[in-house]
Amino acid sequence: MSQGAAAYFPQSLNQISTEDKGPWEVISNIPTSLSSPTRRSVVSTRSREPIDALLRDIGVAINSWVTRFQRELAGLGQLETGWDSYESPAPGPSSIASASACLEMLWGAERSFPPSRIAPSVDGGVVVSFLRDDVRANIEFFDSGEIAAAVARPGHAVRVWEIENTEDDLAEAINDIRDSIGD
Amino acid sequence: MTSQKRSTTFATRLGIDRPLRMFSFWRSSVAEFSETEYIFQRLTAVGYQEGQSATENAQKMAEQIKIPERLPEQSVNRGRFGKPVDVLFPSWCSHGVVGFQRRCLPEQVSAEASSSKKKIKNPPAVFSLRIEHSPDWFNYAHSDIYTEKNGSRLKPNAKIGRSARKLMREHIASDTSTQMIHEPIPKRFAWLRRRLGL
Repeated sequence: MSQGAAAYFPQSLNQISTEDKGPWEVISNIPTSLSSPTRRSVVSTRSREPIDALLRDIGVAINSWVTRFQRELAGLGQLETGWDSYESPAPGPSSIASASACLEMLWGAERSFPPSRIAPSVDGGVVVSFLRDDVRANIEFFDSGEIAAAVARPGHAVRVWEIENTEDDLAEAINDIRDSIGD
Repeated sequence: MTSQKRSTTFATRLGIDRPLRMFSFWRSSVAEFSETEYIFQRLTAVGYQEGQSATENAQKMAEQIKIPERLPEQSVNRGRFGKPVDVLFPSWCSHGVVGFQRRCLPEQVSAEASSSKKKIKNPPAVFSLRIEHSPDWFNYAHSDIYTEKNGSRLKPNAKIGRSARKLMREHIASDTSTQMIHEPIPKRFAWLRRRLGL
C-alpha cells in the first residue's frame, strides 16, 4: 500500500495478505501523484461501494412495492364484517396469508411482476390486481383456500378460472395473466 | 342499504336525514325495469385512491359489486325513482356510488363453465341475476337483486360456486355502462356535502 493511501486506513489493514484484501487492494493502487481531494474522493467511492450496495439493497427492500403491499395486506386484517356496509365478511387470516405468499412469488420471480393494488373482496377474500392500460386482471384468494383468477379485456368476454391451491398452479396463472396483460 | 340499517336517530324520525324524494308516501311498487335503467350501489373507500382511471375503477367495482348469496337479496336503488346519491343516506355518505344498467345483470352463468381444471358436474347449475322493486317508506327506489338457480329463486344460505359469483361480478364491472358515479369522499362533513350535492 502506498504511503498516501495508507493514511486513510488503520495500520492493521496493511497486514492483510494481498489475496484477502478484496476492495482494499484497488485502493492501495491509487497513484500518489493525484491531488489530495481527488484521491480522497476516489478512495471514498471505492471503499463505500460494498456498503452502498448493501444500503441500496436494504433501501430497495424497505421501499419496495412488496413491502408496501404487505403493509396494506396487514391492514386488511383489521377490517370487520360489514366493512363494505353490506354485511360482507372481512378477509380472513387464510386469504391474507395466501395473498402474502403470492406477493412473495411475484417479488421473487425472475422478472418482478408488481401488482397494481391489493384490496378486500365482498366474498371475504383478498384480490391482487394487475392493470395495464385498459386491460385488468386479478387473482382472488378466498378464506376457504380457494383461488380464482380473472382477465377482462375490452371487446372480449371476461375470462374467469379456478386455480388449484399449489405453487405450480399459481405460478402458471401468474404467467397467464402476465401474457394476457402484455407485461 | 337504508332499509337494512334504519337509523333510529331523532333526525330519522323527523325524516330530515335524507331528501324528501326518497320517501314512498304510499306509492306502490313498479315491477317493470327497462333494459337501460340504472341501478345504484354503494362502494366503500377501502382501497380507493383519488384520480383513478376508468380501468382502476372497474377493478374496484369488480371487487365490491355484491352477488347475493348469504343474504337472499342484495339491496340496491333503481334509477327511475331516485338519484345515485340516495343510496348513501343516511349513514354512508363518505362512500362512493357505482351505477350499472339493468341489462348488465347476467342472464346465464354456469358454475362450471369457467373452471379450468375441475371436473364438470352433470348437469352444471345455471345462475342468473334478477331485480325487483321493493320500496319501503324511507326509500321508494329501494330494490333487491336476487339470484336464480336453474330458473328458481335461490333460497337463503344456498351456495353459489366461487367462480360463478366472480364471473358475475366481473361481468357487471366490465360492462361499458358500469361507472363510478360518485367517488368516495372524506368522512368530515360528508353528510352535509352529499345533501348539498358538493
